[in-house]
Amino acid sequence: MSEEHPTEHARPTGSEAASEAAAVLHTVREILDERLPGAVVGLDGTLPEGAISLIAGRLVEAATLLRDDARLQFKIPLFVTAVDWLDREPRFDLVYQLRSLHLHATVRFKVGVEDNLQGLPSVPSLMSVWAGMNWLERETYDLCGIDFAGHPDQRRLLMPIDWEGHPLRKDYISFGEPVKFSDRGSFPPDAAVPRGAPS
Amino acid sequence: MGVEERASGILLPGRTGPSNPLAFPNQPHAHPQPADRVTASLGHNFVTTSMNKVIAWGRYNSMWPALFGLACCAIEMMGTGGPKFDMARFGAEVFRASPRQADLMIVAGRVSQKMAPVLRQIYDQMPEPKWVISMGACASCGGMFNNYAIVQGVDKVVPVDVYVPGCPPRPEALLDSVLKLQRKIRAEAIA
Amino acid sequence: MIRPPDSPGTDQATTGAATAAEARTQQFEGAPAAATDVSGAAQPVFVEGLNYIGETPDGPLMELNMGPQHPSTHGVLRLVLRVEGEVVRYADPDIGYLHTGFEKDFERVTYHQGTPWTDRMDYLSPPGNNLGYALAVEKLLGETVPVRAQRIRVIMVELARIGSHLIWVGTHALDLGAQSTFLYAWRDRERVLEINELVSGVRMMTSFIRIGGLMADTPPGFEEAVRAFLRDFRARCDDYELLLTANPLWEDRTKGLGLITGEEALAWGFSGASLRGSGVSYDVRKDAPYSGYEDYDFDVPLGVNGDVYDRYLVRIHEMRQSLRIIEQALDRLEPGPITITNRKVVLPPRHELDTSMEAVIHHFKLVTEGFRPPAGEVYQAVESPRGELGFYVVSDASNKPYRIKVRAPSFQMVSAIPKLVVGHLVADVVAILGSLDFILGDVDR
Repeated sequence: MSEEHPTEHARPTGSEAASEAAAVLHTVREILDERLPGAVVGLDGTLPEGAISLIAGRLVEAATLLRDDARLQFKIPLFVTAVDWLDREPRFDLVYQLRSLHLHATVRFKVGVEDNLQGLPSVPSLMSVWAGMNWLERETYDLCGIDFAGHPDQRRLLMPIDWEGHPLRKDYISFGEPVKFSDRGSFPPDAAVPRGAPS
Repeated sequence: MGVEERASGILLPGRTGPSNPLAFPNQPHAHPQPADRVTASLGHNFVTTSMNKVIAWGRYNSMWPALFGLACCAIEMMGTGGPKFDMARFGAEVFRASPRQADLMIVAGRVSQKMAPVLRQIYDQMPEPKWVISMGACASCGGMFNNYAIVQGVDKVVPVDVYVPGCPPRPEALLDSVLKLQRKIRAEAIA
Repeated sequence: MIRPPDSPGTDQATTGAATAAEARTQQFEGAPAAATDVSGAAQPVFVEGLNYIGETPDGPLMELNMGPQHPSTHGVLRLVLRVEGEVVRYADPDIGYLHTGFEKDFERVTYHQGTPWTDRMDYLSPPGNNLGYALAVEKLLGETVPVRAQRIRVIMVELARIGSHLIWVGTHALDLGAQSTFLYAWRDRERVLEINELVSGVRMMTSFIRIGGLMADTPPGFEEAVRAFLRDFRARCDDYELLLTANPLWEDRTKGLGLITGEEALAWGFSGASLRGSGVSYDVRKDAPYSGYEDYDFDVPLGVNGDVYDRYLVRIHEMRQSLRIIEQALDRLEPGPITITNRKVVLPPRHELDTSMEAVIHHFKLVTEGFRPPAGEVYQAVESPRGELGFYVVSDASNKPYRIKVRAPSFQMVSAIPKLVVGHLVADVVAILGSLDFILGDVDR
């Protein structure tokens, strides 16, 4: 078994793929800055692929531009989700990923959303831009607890209608059942107290 | 003549050993000596048994499963009904979509919190007698999903007769569970 | 339990007859279960399970529940339909009956332990999910697996694609009445499952494609088994076409249904054969190739009209193209390593555990703690039989993923069901659902 196995047919290594992704990111950022100055907060530099940070207030305009601009044509909504960074301000990172067949690339956008004490953290809904955002946003509302302002039909999608709590948040402890072992007391899961199920 | 008869004839229930007192109540210790051929052939054409056994035989040889495939185990359940493993040989080929026409519920797959009331309703809609096979690890005990979303075992919702381990169980394992259920039904009394 | 409307002479109110004798002979007008009172204006009558919820200009509207226990919804999908006679006027899919909390579970296990979870999401083609997850984590690590591993991965994934399409054609045809196709499809799928079992020991949930390579090298007999399958299956594909493609019954039931244009499909986030049936040429294997797909010569079949029939044709031809890919990969297969050499990520080979203390320590740490990739985020898409399956992995440099989001192709298709189904008959709903080829494990996760 040799260390230097020939890789002439292997995919470009991580650095090449990363540079392709970075080129697309810069193209997108330039077009956004040119047509919608102020919408882009900056480039999120997490490796190996980056993301563009937008501000929530310009989200709908930026999305419409991304879809309609002839150089970009991001017509496919891939997903929307929220990543919960529990001890950070802003708490949630709303992540959007879009695909463009024209550029043969995907691009990621992030919007920082704070944990709103009065209600749920809120961003404008992008359902008017892509029809596929309908259920993606409903799912994010259901599991992560982000409110999408302007969504015509925001109700729970995956959990039962009367479920309490948003399971994918970090402070929602997924309860399980303690498993009994014969040689010790029991193997408790992450938490002993069930949360979320209506009593 | 009685000995030769027994040696060449068919062994019938109640005919081995001492004569069946129910057949010849007035001659508890005599071997039966039928006079003519018709009466002689009667012994080969009747089976004496009990109501329990006959009804159980009818029930277990044509158990109709209700379609209750939920997840991955449903695919193996379809494979068990497919040509290679052929559940039809055991009488359980006819999967009925309506629970009113079914008597076996094979819970094939993980049962989520939202699905549990539906499961119970379908079970309630099945007429008696009915049996439940809990197919796979998720149906038996929650499987690898020990979390907020999955009911940890369908026996929290419906009574289960046979549990089949596996993730998913091989079709042979499901067939084995059907056979075990048949043995169980054989032992059940109707009264 | 029928609760008739409150009106005098209730038992005769439904027929408007003055006496019981007249009630027996009077002709009933209108839909059988609809109740009209004496004046002729329709009154809502609530029968358990059926609700007359209103009137359209053409007649009463009835709310029907299709599922979650239903033979034709391909899983536990509940469709709340509002029908006027047989014509669907409104549809609302209700999902979540198979929600398993995969994404939450990923956060509490190590990366390697997450592989069996991926098997069970899109359970018709488990190797495809394994591949997506493995590629995503390898991208995070900055690793590329050796060539032999890539080729075997391609073979297993394309075999899984054929297996999944066989289930699709079997169940789709079964729903529309062609029962023999179901049995033929399962006969062929058993060959694929036998190959799975030969290679990994498990028929369905193989977990064969792992982070950093493969579980083990292929056993002797693998190549013969796959070549035998390739030989036989080409003719079988023609058999399926013979049964269905030019069949006037099939054409009547599938042509012109469930139409969606390419632009609409893109906006709804469609991918895979459902998108290609509308003529949009997008296949992740061509657009963003992975695992050596750029080296294989294969075509991407496209439909024209975007109806159920075209989607059916696209998938049948995809099976043939998968055979081409498998043959090319098998021809190029050469001996070599099947995992990366980074011992901090991949388990050491068993024989080294006898002699090397380091190997034992690596093994121990990997099994108990797992590896720690660098902090970062990746999105990796693969072409599953349903469409673009994507894994978005967020790592915070610990041994467990911080967040994994699975981009499920079936999710988008189920969300578009109202658009596709309104205006068609209830029986057509079944055909449309089958043509989308969604799977609820993917939708609900």
